[in-house]
Amino acid sequence: MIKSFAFGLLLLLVSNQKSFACASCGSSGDDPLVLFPNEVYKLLIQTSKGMEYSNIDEKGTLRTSGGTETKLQTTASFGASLSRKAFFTITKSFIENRRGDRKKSGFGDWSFSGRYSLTMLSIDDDWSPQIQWLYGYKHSTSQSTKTSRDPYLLDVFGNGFSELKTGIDVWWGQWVVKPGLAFALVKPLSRSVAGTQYTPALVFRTTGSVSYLQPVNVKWVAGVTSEKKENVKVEGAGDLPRSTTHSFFLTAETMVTDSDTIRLTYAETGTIGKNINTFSSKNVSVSYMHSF
Amino acid sequence: MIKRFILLLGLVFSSSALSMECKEADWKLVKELQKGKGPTDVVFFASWCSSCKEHLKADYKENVIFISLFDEKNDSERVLKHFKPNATCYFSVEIEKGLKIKSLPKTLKVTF
Repeated sequence: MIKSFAFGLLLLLVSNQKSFACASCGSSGDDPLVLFPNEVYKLLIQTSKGMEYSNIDEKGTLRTSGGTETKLQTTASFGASLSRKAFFTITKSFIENRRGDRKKSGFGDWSFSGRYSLTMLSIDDDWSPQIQWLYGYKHSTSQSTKTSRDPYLLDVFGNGFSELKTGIDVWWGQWVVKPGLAFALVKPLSRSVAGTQYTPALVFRTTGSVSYLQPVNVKWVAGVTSEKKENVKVEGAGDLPRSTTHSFFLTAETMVTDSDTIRLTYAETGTIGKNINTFSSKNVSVSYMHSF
Repeated sequence: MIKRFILLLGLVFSSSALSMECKEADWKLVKELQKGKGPTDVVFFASWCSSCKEHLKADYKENVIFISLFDEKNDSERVLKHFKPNATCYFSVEIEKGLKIKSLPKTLKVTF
């Protein structure tokens, strides 16, 4: 895995790079595609491999995974600008879960996201940040743990809840090392499964990142994400416990032509800090983006 | 007396603002207006493009013009006034489409 990431980096370094500093992007999380003010339409194709899945219990102890061991995911996302300051994206994934020789595949949820720049960078003022309002809606259509029919949960491709999201992303893009901070509030919507009502509480997600545009026009972004989920109320039963997940990511990105960008991401979920009632995994992804 | 002073202030500020107006132009008009001025560095920029800063700060030995792309006109004018208060500036009317420019910063050397 590390070897493939290093090989990808080498490819980036020997390719003909063109790049410029950009908005706070890189985690490949729920906003894998970000449009810049000069872009009208943009397409992303991303392939990723998640591995070494382990469960983490309520005491933070690592347990062997009883379900998926490896996850292969192909994501397509299309974005369109609404103005110099606003854009939206539509994202869909195809997922294959594996455990030993067993595997099951299916589509993930539809995701609609967007950003509106409340303030843009202005290069006559080094301290002026870019501040973006984030918004999004995820429409749950895929199998979740509540509807799974597989003994190893290999047919689980989503969390089972439609979600509304809003947040703020602040990024200082004019310094040598460019810091950014994003905060998102996610509201999963209640749903009923087999007569049982599930009412999830809010999810708080905070991402801090630093980016650096060197050497030879490769943009590096390193960041940490903290996600806290409050209890899920289950009608007629005890609440599902709250969870805390800390993750980090490292991305390298470069423009190989004026319209084409390649991004490599390495991420570890649930491996830093105190994690409870969650899972840990390692993930490598390669993204290709083309602007029209 | 006070009226004259206010009038004078108004003239000073208005002439200052006018000195950095980016004229709206397509590439054809830019070529017409620059005709006969010889080799020229053409710098394309936007107020939000941090990588463009070095191109705006640079000293140019030949003629240079600045063309704002993918931006709001007043933002471009404010930024260029900060770096090059006496520069010749154009605000693109679809110049990027004609020249197929998709990203910034971008510079061209053109003999008009």
